[in-house]
Amino acid sequence: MRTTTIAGVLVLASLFGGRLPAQDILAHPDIPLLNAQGESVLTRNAPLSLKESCNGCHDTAYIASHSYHVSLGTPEERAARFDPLTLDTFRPGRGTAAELATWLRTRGARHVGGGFAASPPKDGTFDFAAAGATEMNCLLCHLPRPDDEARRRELAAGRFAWVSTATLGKTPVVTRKGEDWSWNREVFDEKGQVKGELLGLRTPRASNCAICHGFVPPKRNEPFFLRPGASHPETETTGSIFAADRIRESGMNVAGKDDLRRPWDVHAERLLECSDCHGSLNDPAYDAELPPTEPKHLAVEPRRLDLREFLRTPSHDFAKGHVSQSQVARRLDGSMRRCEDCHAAEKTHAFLPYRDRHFTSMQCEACHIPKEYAPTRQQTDWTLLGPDGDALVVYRGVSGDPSDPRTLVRGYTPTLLPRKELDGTRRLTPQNLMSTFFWVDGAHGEKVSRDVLARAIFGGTEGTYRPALVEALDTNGDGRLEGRELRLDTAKKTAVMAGLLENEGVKNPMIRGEILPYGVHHGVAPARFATKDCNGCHGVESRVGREFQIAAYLPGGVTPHLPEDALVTLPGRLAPTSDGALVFQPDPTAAGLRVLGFGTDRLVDRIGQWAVILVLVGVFFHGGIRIFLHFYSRNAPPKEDAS
Amino acid sequence: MSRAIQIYTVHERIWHWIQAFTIIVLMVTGSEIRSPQSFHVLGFQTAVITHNVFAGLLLFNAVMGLFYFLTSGKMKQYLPGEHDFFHKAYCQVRYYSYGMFRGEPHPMEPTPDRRLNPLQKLTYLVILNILLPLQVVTGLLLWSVQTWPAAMSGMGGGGALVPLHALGSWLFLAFTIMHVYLTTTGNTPLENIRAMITGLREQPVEGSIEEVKS
Repeated sequence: MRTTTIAGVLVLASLFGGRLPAQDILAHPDIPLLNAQGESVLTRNAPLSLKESCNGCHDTAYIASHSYHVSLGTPEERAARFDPLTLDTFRPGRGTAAELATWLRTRGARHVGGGFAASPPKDGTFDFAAAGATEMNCLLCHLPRPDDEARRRELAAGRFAWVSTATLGKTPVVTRKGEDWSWNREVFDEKGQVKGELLGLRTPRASNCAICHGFVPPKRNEPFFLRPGASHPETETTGSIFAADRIRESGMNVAGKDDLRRPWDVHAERLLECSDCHGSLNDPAYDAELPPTEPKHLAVEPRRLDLREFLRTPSHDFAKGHVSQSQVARRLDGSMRRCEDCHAAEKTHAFLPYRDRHFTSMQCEACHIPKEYAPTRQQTDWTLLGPDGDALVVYRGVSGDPSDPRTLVRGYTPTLLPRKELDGTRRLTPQNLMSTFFWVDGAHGEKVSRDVLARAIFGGTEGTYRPALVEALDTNGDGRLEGRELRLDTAKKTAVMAGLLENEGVKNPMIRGEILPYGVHHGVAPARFATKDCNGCHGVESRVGREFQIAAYLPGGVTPHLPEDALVTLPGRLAPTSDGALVFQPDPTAAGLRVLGFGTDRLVDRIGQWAVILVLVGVFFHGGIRIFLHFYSRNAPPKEDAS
Repeated sequence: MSRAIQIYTVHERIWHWIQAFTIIVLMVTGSEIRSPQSFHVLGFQTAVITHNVFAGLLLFNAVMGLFYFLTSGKMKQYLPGEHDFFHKAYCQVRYYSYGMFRGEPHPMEPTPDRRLNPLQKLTYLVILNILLPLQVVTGLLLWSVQTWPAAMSGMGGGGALVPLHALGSWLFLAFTIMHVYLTTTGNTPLENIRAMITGLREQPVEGSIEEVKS
C-alpha cells in the first residue's frame, strides 16, 4: 500500500511537475561577483564584469568568440546588414568609437554585448575608458527575470560598464540608488560569492529570447495584448506569437476568436523552449546534424563533449534554420532540428494523397501555419518620418490602428513561395512579404541614415515638420501632416523631400524600394487546425495563386524589387492596383512548380479549344445541312415522272 | 426489305460502353483536377481519387479489349489492309461531304466481319496507337510521382507531362464529339447507337420475302 502510494505520488509529480522542477534542481553553484580587474565587486562598489565572474567555470573568451549573437556574423554578413525596421545600417567593427557609442546607446539593446562592443576602436572620438566596455551579457539570457528596462537605461545613458550590473536589478543582489547601483553586502558570503539559487541561473527560456526576438507573453493563462513595434521583430515581420495560451483566451481583439480554440503556437503549448530547437551546437545532449565541414561519408558525429567540457566551453553558436530573413551565420544554416527530426510525418499523413510528393514540394509549415493572428508589417516607409520620428508603417491583417486594443485583428494567410533549400531543391514555404522604401545617396548608393532623415524632415525639433514639407504635403490645409498626407505620392512632393535631403548634404537623393521576404516558421497550429482542404492550395483562387498585397502605396512611384540574395523567388508578377497599391500575383508554374488545379497551359488549352471548336462547327454545319435537306425534301413537291 | 443481323457481340458492347463511361468520367474529373474553382463536381480530392480509379479501369478494359480482338481475330478489322483502301476512303469522304446530302446510299454498309469504314479505320489507328498510349503513358507517369518520382523527372517532369496529358484530353474530347455525331449518320439518326446497345442492325436484303425466310 505504502509502495503504491509513493509510486502514485511520483507518477502524479511527473505528470504535473513537467520539466521545470527537474531542471531547476540543477541549481547553479555559488558565484563570485568580480569586477573587470578580477576583484570582488564589493571592494570598490565596482560594476560587475561577467567576463571575469563567469570565467572561473566557463571559458568566457571561447563563448564570446563562438557566438553569432556577439559577432552579428562575419564581416561580409555585417556589411550586408540592413535592418528595415530601424533603418539601422551600422557596420560593427567598421565605424569610429563615437559611432559605436551612438549605436550602443540607440540600438545596442538588441545586442548581447561582447565582441566589437567590448573592444572599441581607440581613435579618440569617444572615451570608452570612462564609459566602460559592453561585455557579453550572460545574465540577459540566463536569469529568470533579467531587468531589461534597467539595462536599456544604462545603455541609453552611455554607462556601458554598468549594463550587466543593471540586468541584476530585479534580484536582491544589487539596488539602484539614484543613478548609481549599490551591491547588497548582506547577500554575499565572506568570499564575495552569492548563492546560486539567489540568481536562479538556468538554460535560457523563450521569455529570455523574447527580449530581442518575437513576442512571448510574460505570464501564461493571463490575457495579453500585443502592441506592435520593432522591439519584437520576429512577430512584427511574421505575425508569429510563441505562446501556449489559446487564441480565444487572449486579450487580442481577433476576429472570430470564440472559435479559435487553438494555441498561438502548439510547440509552446507542449512546453518546448526556443533552445530545444535552437540549442548549442556542441551540447552533448543535442543530436545535431553534422556541420557541412565534416566528411560527407559521416552520418553521425559520435564524439561528444562530456558534461564538464561542455560547461567549460559551451558553444553559443546556436543551431539555426535556413530562413529567408536571416543575414547572420549563414554557415550554420540548416543546423537546427527540423520538423521531420522530431515528427514521423509519414505515420500521421496516411490521409494525404501523393504524400511524398507533398513532402518534397512543400515545407510542413505551409499547411501547419495556415494563418497568423498578430498585426504584421506589410510596408515600412522610410522616405518620410511620422511625428514620432519613426517610419511610416502599414500593417496587414488589421482594420485600423494596431496599437489600439479595440482594433479588430483579422490575421493574414502567408503567401507560399518556392524557397531554395540547402540540398538545391525548391519547396513552398509560407512567407510574409514586406516592402520597404528608403532614400539613398546617388553619389555612392549608401542609404540615408535616420539621423540625416530626421534633420531633413524636422530640422531641430522632432515632430514638427519643416514648413516646406508641410506646404507640399498638407492637402487639407489644416497646417498639420497626418494620415495619408504623409506619403510621397506625387513627383512634386518627392522633389520637395529630395531638396530637403540635398540641403543636408545628400547628393542626388533617390528612393529605392525592396521586397523583403520573411519566412513564417512559428505560430504553428496543432494538426487538427492545419490546412487539410485540397482546395486550400489546388486552384487559382487558393493561397498558392491568391494575390498578396505588398505595398499600400508606392513612395515616389518606385516599384520595389526582391534583393538578389533572397532565398525565395517571386514567381509571378507585381501588379499595381487602381488605388495605387502593389500586389504580388503568384504563378508557381513560373518557378517550374506544377500545382494541380492551378494555372493552365495556355498554348495547350488554346490548341485544344480550337480543336473542339472546329469539330463543333463542322458538326453544326454538317448536321444543319442534313436537317435542312431533311425538311426541305419532305416539304418539296414530288417530282413528275419523266416517263 | 431488311433483316436484323447481330453486328456487335456482347463482349464488344460491354467493352465499348465501359470505355465510353470511363472516358467521360476521366474528362469530367480531369477538368475538375485542372480547374477546381471553375469546375466543381466531386470536390478536388474525390476527383483525384476517381480519376485514378477510372484511369486504371480504362487501362484494364483496353488491355482486355486488345486481348479479345487479338484472340478473336477481329483485330484485322482495324487494319487498313485492303488494296483499294484509298479509293474506298475517297468514296467515304465523298459520301459525307456530298452523297449523303443527295440521298445516295452509304458506300459501305457495315457487316459483322467488316464494321469499320476506311475513315473509321484511320481514326482508330490514330486513337489507339497514338492518343490512347499518350494518355496512358503520361497519366501513369503523373500518377507514379508518388512512388517513382525519378521516372516522371526523367520524362521532363510535370512541366512537360501535364500539358501533354491535357492536350490528349482535349483531342479525346474533340474525338468524342465527332464520334457521337457520326453515329447519327446511319440510315436513321439512332440506328448506330441502337446497334451498340442491342448489338442488332437492320441490313437490306436482296431477293423475295420467301427467299429471305428460307
